Amino acid sequence: MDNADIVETPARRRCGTEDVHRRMLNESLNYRLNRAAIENLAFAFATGEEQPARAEVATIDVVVHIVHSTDEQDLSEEQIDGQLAVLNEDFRATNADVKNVPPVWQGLVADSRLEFRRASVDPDGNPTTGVTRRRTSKASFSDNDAVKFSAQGGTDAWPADRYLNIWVCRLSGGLLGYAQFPGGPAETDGVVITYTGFGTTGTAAAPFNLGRTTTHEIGHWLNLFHIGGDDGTGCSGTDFVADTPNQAGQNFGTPSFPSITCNNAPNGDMFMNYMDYTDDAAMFMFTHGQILRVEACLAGPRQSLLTAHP
Amino acid sequence: MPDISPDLFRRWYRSFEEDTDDQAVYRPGDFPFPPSRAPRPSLEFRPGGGYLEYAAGPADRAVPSRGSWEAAEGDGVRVRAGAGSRVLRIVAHDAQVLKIRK
Repeated sequence: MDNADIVETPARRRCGTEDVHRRMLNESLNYRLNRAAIENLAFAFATGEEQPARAEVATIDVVVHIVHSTDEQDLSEEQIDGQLAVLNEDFRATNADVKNVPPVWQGLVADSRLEFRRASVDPDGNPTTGVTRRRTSKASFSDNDAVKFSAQGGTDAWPADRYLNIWVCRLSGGLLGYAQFPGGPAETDGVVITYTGFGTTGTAAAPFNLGRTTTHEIGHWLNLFHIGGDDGTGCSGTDFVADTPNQAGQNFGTPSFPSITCNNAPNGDMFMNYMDYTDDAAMFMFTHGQILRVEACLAGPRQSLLTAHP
Repeated sequence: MPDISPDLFRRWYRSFEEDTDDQAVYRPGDFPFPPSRAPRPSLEFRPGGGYLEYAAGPADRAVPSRGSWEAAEGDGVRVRAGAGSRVLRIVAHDAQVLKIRK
């Protein structure tokens, strides 16, 4: 009898492992299929085969999950509002520093006609401030998504088809933020920002204290890639956007115009684009081509966010 | 045989700023690194021979390549990740710092 138990236990374990394995394979396959469909739609928009049909400015409901291990990390309401104000300028191209875009590219500056506001109704239908707060025993979180799960010291996502989830915590390794592209699992969908790179006041620290880390990560969440093309410092990578110049790697700090790479003279890299890696004060534009990709994303995988509320 | 203590079994982030001419310096995640949009390269040793090497990914998080580590001659540790294999010479390590000969 005991022997039967001994034999049975590992058999069950193998089944469990097999289940996890199958689930991961399925998720990976789903993700690849989702990504192919999303990029096909983006391509159809880029070629003009599909056209943006959205007539009005759309507003996205946001939930900010503050996950803090110290009182300092428990950001104020003011700091959260400051971040949302930055998003509402940057995504409408009403940011004051847009005037610093070099004249040759002023015509490319694009308004995404997207706005962001705190969610006013939670997933259960109750009133909310659009902010969750929890104390955690974890001194910091890596980029392994633990911050997105209550059971791992973080906070569970709100339904990703109705809310943009923004987690704010202390990220380890000095990382300012990271994102998930559309097409991935709902339970990890959203962006994560370190508490010193969020908003413009309080814990926000120069040179990342103008809220642009969140603008950049939401750019990824809306299916934008780095304008350097994610091929290291090579010249063959692409962001799949026609009106951003080909450039080598990402730029850092506050470069001077023009900065030439990949034979892109005379104007050089568009280092002032939100999808480069420059300091907050040095990035201040999206292009029409980028916003066309955002429109494709809003017509496809993120469509439900536009109809989630009245 | 390198002198390996359990302190080694964590994820180590490259601390370029502290490198010397002949040593690459790594620190644990909680080290107060200057903030950066790009993830720092990192590597992770696991008990039992698991090894991961992380490089920058397209959504600002690091993407791991999974592999293995094993003790090599002298102070060497042979690591395999992705398609490559190389020997890391561990000069020193404790819970706060890992130093590898360049």
